[in-house]
Amino acid sequence: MKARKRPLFPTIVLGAVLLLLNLPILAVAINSLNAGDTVTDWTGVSLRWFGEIIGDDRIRAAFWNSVVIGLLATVVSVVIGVMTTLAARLLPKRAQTAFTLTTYARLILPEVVTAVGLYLLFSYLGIGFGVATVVVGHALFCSAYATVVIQARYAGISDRYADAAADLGARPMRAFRRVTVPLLAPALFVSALLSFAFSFDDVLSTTFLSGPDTETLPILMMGMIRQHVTPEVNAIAATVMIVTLAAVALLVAVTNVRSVAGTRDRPQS
Amino acid sequence: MSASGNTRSRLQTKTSQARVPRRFRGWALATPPMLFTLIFFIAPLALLVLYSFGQMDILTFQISFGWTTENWRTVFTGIYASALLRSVVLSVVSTALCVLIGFPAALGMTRMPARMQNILLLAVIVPYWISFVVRNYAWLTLLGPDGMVTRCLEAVHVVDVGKDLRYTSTAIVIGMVSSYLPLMILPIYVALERIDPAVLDAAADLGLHGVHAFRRVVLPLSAPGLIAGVLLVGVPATGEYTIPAILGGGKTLMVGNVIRDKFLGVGDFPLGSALAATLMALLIVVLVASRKRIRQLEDVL
Amino acid sequence: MNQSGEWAVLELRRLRRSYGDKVVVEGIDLALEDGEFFSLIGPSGCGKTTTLRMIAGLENSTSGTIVLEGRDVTGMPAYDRNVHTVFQNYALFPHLTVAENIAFGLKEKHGKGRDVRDKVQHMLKLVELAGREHARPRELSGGMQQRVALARALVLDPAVLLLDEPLGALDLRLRRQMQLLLKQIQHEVGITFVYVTHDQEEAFSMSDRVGVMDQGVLVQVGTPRDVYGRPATPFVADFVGARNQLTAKVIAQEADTADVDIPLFGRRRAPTAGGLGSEAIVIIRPEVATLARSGTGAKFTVEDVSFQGPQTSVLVQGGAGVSLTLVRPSHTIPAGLVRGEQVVVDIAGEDLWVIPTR
Repeated sequence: MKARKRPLFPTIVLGAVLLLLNLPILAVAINSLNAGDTVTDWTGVSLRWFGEIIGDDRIRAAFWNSVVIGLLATVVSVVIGVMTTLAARLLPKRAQTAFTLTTYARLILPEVVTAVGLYLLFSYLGIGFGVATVVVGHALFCSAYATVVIQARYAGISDRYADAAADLGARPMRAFRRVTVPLLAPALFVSALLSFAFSFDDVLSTTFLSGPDTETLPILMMGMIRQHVTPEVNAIAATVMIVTLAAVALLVAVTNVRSVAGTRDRPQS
Repeated sequence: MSASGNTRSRLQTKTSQARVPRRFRGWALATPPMLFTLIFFIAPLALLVLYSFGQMDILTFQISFGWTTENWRTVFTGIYASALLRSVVLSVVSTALCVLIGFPAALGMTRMPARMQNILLLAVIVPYWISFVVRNYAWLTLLGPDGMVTRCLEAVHVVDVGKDLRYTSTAIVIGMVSSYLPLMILPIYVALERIDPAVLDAAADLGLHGVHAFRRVVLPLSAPGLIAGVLLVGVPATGEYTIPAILGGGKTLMVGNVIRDKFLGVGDFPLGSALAATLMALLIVVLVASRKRIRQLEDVL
Repeated sequence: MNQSGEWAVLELRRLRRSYGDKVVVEGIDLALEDGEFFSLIGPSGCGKTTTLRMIAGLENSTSGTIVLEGRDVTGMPAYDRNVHTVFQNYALFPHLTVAENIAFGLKEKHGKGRDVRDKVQHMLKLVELAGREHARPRELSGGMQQRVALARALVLDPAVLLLDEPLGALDLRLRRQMQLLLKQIQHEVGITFVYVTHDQEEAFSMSDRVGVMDQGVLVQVGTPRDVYGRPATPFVADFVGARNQLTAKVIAQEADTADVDIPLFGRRRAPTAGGLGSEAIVIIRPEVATLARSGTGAKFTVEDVSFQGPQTSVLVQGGAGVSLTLVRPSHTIPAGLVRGEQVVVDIAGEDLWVIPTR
């Protein structure tokens, strides 16, 4: 909708929204630079707390766990996303509907329900809780996001390029490699980023599905918050933010954001 | 050599690949995701329902299956019922706020020049990607007695001086709205963007301007996006755990927290399962009721 | 084998396509010669695109055979057939450059190397896009994209080139240019073209032969002159613009002429393909009737005069509800002709064409 005039009320609300969304982030960023011992007293700018957290073994271990789990969950999710998208296109309507339903169910059902269910499953089967179980828990909803993103992109490209590739002599595997994958690349990238972000960030599933050795960063932070709000938490939080922002900057540099949001590409004339 | 008569294909879709392997490839590709979903999604849900009929011996913590409905009865009484109710209420309030705030915001976004829209989209999506825990923890600091937000509100006399806004239902709502708002704005934005400007021109041509045009043209056309937003926000919000854990501080409990306690605290799987299953049933009812609209979800997402 | 005894490069035998109860293409029989420019025309939904896609292998046939260069390719997937398509929406791969697009099919057959590069260069020159090899599709105009699509298909030296309404998205002037270019290229390359369009004028101007389709049936095949001058059915007559169709009584019938009594005009002996009943439809092409202020002929009243430059279109109304559209060179129309005037219109028997009513 491209109107000529800019209505006042929505614009104000928009501004308020941006403030609401970004205020906490700024607060954390600023607080992490606080040199003082407590959160509330401001004694000057310092990178002291960043130093503290880098030196802390437990924090480093948690960070590393989060990264590893994130990467694994991402790989699993993107692969599932691609396979689901391609399979859905090749199968009859009823199968497609089934896929769609289960994908959206995973997106919408509260995480607590699915996490608890998995907890029961693994307990029942006697599977120990560790990295693998957490990865499964994350992949459950991350793959749903991946599927949605990839499918949106695929819908915009599929049939006519597939026809052209086949018409010009490319067998299905080669058409996939030379046409489908390059065209899907932005979606693959975005879904990978999304999956990693969600996995890195996750508290609920991780709470239920992690073992004593698999403490992730968010869990660690939760614990620290519960007991005692220390400035270190600010620094950790700030670090996590920086990592995420770096990933987003990468994303922006590579793709056009509006096409990511799924607005239909205007046809080339 | 000739395969003329028997190349009848039942598929409605056109094929540019070899006939025989096509469906085979489809099923081959579909199997791993299907197995994944079956084992890790469907089976657990079934287990939940199953366990909800079991019972836990208080003394030995052993779970046995006596097929009792006791857990279900417990769920709807006393503190559990009130936790459920509170969850629903907080979720509804948060969702409503998201709609009231998010719709105008999305509208404002669509009216911006294209380049600004890219930036705005980022400004809305990025906070969503930045750690959930971080953001809600930040609200904790902002809402404390010395927190910036509290001080602002004190200055305009909305709250009393020295008031601690943390660990209240209000804090939880604030946390939820600020966490879930992007999920409301995005579908609405996409739906609004899909509206052909020619339609608005036609409406103006027929005499509909401003608020009227909005109510009778824009609103109905953006309904799929609205519904998508409500589902994406309202449903997960009901089962939210992290936000009440941080901002509710153990004083205000939502269903998510109760379930966690039951499982990881007491070990009362049956009761916890009953609670989780109740949540699931509640939401399935909502989903089924809005079944038609979900198909439109596909378009928007 | 077609009529002149040559081997056909493409043959369709009773080709049929149905979806459950719905029949989209109804038993097509067609044989195309090597080097022929053939157009398949008809209104939207008549099945011409479906037929094209079946030839390409992009759609299954329900029954019937497709024979290409003497081989039965009916069951063969698209990527194995020596047939290539220029699509309506071009379908240029957006992530590849012009040169890479053109080379796409070559790489499947030949791999890389100087051979590929030479062929691509040659094609670029042929479609008049030399120097553009590094551009991306989105940087090119519609006409240019279309030419790349053409080059991409032609470079593979197909036995038959299929074109699915390739000029639909272009404006009039560009379309004319492209029509000329296409004809030129087809001549140079000597490959059989199968061209699908709903624009009858376009088809007539470019083709050696034309096939008219109506609701899945191939109604008539012939040279443009034949189809225009001797349409087989009222539908074809309508479609090609032989607008005036009068129902006349059949008095006598021979092998290739008929004596008919035409309302307002009287008896004429006219050519026909035969098979007439007691009544028949007489087709009076807009350009064969003569018009004058006085003289021999039937009396008509002028309804409308449309000056179109080299020709003028005159709509006349006669008794018995008969109305005719005449299109004559402007200098043969009496000057100052206005609505309401009385004129005489005459037709000669040999200029008419008689077809059965159904």
